[in-house]
Amino acid sequence: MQRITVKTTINGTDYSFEVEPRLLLVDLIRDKARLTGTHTGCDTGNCGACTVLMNGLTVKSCQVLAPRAHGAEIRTVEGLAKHGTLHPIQEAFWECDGLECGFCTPGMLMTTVAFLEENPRPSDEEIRRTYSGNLCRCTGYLNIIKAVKRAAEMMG
Amino acid sequence: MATYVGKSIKRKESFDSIQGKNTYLADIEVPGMLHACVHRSPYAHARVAQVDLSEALAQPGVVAALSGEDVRRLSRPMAPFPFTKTKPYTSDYPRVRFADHYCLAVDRVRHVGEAVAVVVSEDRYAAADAAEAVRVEYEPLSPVVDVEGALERGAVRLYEQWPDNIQYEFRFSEGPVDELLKEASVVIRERIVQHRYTGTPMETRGVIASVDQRDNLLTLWSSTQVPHALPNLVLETLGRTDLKIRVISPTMGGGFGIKWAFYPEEVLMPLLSLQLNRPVGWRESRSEHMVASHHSRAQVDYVEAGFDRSGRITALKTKVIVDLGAAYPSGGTSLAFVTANFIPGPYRVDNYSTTSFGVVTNKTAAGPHRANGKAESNFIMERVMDRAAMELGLGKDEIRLRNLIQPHEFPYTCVTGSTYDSGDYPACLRKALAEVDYGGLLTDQDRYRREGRYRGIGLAFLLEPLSSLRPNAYNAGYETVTVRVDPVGKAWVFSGDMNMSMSHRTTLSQVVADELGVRFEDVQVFEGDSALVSSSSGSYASRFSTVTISAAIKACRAVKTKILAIAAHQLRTHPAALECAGGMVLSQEKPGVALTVKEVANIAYYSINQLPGNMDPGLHDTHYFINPNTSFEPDAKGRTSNFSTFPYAVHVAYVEVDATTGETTILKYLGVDDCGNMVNPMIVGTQITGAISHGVGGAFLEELVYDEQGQLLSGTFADYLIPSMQEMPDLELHHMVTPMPFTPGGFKGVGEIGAIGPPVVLASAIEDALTPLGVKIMRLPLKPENIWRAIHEQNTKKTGE
Repeated sequence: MQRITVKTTINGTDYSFEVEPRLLLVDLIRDKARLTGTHTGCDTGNCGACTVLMNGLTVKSCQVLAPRAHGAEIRTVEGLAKHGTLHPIQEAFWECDGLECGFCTPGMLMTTVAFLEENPRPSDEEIRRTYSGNLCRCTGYLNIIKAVKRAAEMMG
Repeated sequence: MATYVGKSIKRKESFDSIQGKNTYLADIEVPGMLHACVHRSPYAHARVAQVDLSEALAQPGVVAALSGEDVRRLSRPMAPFPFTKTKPYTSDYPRVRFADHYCLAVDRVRHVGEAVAVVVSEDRYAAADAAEAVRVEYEPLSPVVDVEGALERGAVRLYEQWPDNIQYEFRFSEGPVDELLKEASVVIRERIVQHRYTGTPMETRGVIASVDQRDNLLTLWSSTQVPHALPNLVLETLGRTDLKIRVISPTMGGGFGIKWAFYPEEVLMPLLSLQLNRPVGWRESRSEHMVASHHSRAQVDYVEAGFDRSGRITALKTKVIVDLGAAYPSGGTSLAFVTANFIPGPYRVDNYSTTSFGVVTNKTAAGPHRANGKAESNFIMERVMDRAAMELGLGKDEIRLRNLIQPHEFPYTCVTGSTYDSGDYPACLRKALAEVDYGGLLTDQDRYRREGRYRGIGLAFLLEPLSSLRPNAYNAGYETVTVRVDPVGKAWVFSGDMNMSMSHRTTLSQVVADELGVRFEDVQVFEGDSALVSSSSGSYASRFSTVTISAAIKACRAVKTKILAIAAHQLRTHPAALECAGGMVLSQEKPGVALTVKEVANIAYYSINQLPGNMDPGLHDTHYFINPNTSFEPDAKGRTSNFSTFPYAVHVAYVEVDATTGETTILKYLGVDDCGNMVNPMIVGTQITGAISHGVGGAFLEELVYDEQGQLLSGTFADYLIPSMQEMPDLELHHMVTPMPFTPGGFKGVGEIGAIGPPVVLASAIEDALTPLGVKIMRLPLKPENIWRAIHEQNTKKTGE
C-alpha cells in the first residue's frame, strides 16, 4: 500500500511518520508516537475516549485520518502536566473523584481543556450538554460535573 | 483509633490515570509481537462446511492462520468454567450440562460473532484485512432465538447430544405452596420479561501471549478478572501441563463481571505464540465486544404470590427461565440459581417453591454482570409487592413494612438456606421515606394528577447477596493476601485482585496502614498477577470487602504481633505495653521510648540474634480468609448457603411520564444504603453512583436486540446506548451502618447494588404514575416506546376495540 508523510506537532514535539493513508489519528498518536494516554473505546465515534485537541478544537481522533493531521498541532493528556506539576483540571478531577478506571479520563480532560477555555463559568446544564460525547462507565458522571466546576474555580 | 479507615482519602490509582500513564492491555508492547484478528460468524446457527484460509494466508505480512480443524488438532475443548469439574454438585439439584466448545468453531456456529478463524500478521491493520479474506462455507440452520421457544417440544436443539435446550436446572420446594396459594386472599400472578443487556466496560478485552521456550514459561496478559483461574484453564485446554504459566491482568478499564470469564482468545493467543515462537496479541474492537463478550440479564419469569388480608405474604411460587445464549464455559450458569434463590429477598417467606432453568439459545453467551442474578430477583419481588399493595389497598411502604425481616431476627436463615448477616430493614425504609418526604411527594403527585399529569413515586427495597462461592469451582470460597514489612520498614501487600476501577490499592493501603500503624504512603499494593499469590477467585460479587480486606487484616495482625514481640524484646518490656502508630512502635508507659518499624525490620532481617525465643527471621504473613457464613455441602433440605454478606438499600424515585410519548423524566432519585462499615466513603459514593448509571442504562437505554434470525441489531455504541452525562439524574445518597458481624472489618461491599435500583424503582414509579390509566409494568426496558405501547394496549383493552 502507498505511504504518505504526516508531519505533526504533539504536545510541542515535532513528529514525522510515513503512514498508510487510512491510518487513524488515534493510532498515529498511540502506536507511532507511543503516547498511549489517548484510548480507543469504540469504533463508531460515540465514546470520546480518543478525544484530543487538534489546532485547539476537540476532535475524536478515531474519526480523523492521520493525513488530515499533517501540519496540525495536537494536544493530548500527556501534555497537560508540566515538569511534574499537575494541570489544575487534573487536580480537580483527582480531588473530586471524577474518575475510577481511568479509561475515559484522558478524553474527559481534553474536552475540559477546550471547554473551560471557551466557557470559564459553565452551568450544570451547559456541562451536561458538552460532555454527552464522552462516555464513562464507572463514575456515573456526577463527580465529573463537580470536577469541571472545581477546575473552573481553580483556573478562574 | 483509625487514622485512615473511614476517611475519604484521594485515590492512589488516580494519580497515574489523570496523566494517561496507566498501562492497559492495548498499551503493552512486547518486542516482536504479532497481531491477531479473529474472523467471526455472521450466522446465528449454521454448519461450518469449509473454512478456506488460503486467500488470507496469501496476504502480505500474514504469517499464520488457524481454523477450527487446526485447533481441534492442537488443543482440547475449552475447560469448564467456573466449575473445576464436570460433576460439581452432590445433590439432585442444581444440575448442569456441559458442551464441548473449542476456541474456534469446529463444525457448527451457534451465535453471531462466534470465532471461526484467526489470522496473524506483522501489522494490526493488515491482520484485519486478512481476517476479511477468510472464506467460510456455511449451511444455515434454523436459529433458536426466543428463550421460551427453545423450551418447546420439538424446538431445534443447539447441542444434539442434549435431549433439549436446558443447560441448567434448579428446583426447590419448602412448604405446602400450592395449597396456600389456593387459600390466599389475594394471589398476584404475573409473567415478567427482563431484557438482555450487559456491562460494556469502556475498555474492551485483549489478550497477549508470549512463550519463553528455554524456561518453558508461557506469559499471558489478559484484561481479565480471573488471572488466577486462567493458568489451570489455559493449560488444560492447551493440553500442555508441561508448561509453566503466569497470567497478568494489567490495569483494566472496567470489568463489571463481563471479564470474569474464560474466553476463546485466551487459548488462541497461547496456541499461536507456541506455534510461531513469537508473542501474539489480540485487541477486541467494540463491535466485536458486543458479540464476543458476555451478555446478561435476559430472563422470563412466572411468579405466583399469595397474600393474606393483612398484606402478609403466605406463599411464593416461581418459574425462572434464563436466556443463556450459547453454552460456552461461563459464569452465566449461576444466573438461574441465584435469581431463584433470592426472589424472596428481604421479606419473610416461609413457603416457597421454584423451578429454574438456564436455557441455551443462538445468541452470545450470558455471563455474570454487576448484581448477577439479583438485579433480576429484586425486580420480580418488587413488582409483586407493588401489585399486592394495589390489590389490597395498602401503601407501597406499608406492605413492605409488614413483610420485611425484623432486626431482631438476624442472623436470619431464609427459606432457600442463605443466612442474612445483619441489617435493620425497617429503619432503612423509614429513613428513605423520611429523607425523601414521602408524604410531601404524595401530596405533590395528587396535585399534578388533578391537572391530568402523570407523576409517580417508585419504591424499591433492594437486597444484594454478595461474596459468593461455589463448591468445586474457581470461586473457591477464600482469598489470599500476603503482607510483608521489608527491611526499610515499608509495607508490601500482595493480593489476588486486580486494578480495575474499585481502587483496591487505596482501600487496602488504608486498612493495612491502620492495622500495622504505618503511614498510608508507606504501603505498596501489588495485584493482578498469578505469580504474586498462590490462588484467588478474582474480582466478582464485590467480595473484596468481605474476604480480601479480611485476609489482609489477619495477615497484618500476624505481622504486627511479631513486630511488637521483637520491639518488646528490644525495649525489655511486654508487647501489651506497646502500640504501633505512624511507622513507630511506641511505649504507652514511657513516652519517648520508641523504635521505628524500620529498626524492628532491621532486627528481623539482619540482626536475627536479637529476635526473641525461637522466632523466625523476616516480617511477613500469608493469610487465607475463608468466606464466612457459607456452606459447601448441602444441608438436609438440599440447600447450600453460597453468599457471605447481604448489603441492602432502599431507592425512591419521583418521576413524570409523558403519556403521549412514553418518555419518563426523573424528578428525584434518592437512595439509602447499608453496606456495613466503609473504608473510604468517597469511593463508596462514586461506586454507588456509577452502579446507578448502569441501572439507568438498563432501565431506559440499553438493550441487546436480536431479530428472528439471531442477528444482533444493537451491535455498536451507535445503537447500544449507554447513558451519557445528559441521561444521568442527580442523586441524593444516604447511608446507614449495620456492620458485617462475621469479618474483622465489618465491611459488606458496595459495588453492585446501585445497578439493581433503577429498573426496579423506575418501573414502580412509572406504574404508579400511570395508575389512572390502569397500566401495569411487567417488562423491561422502560423505553418510551414500550411505555407508550403499554398505555396504548391498556386503552385498547378498555375501549374493547
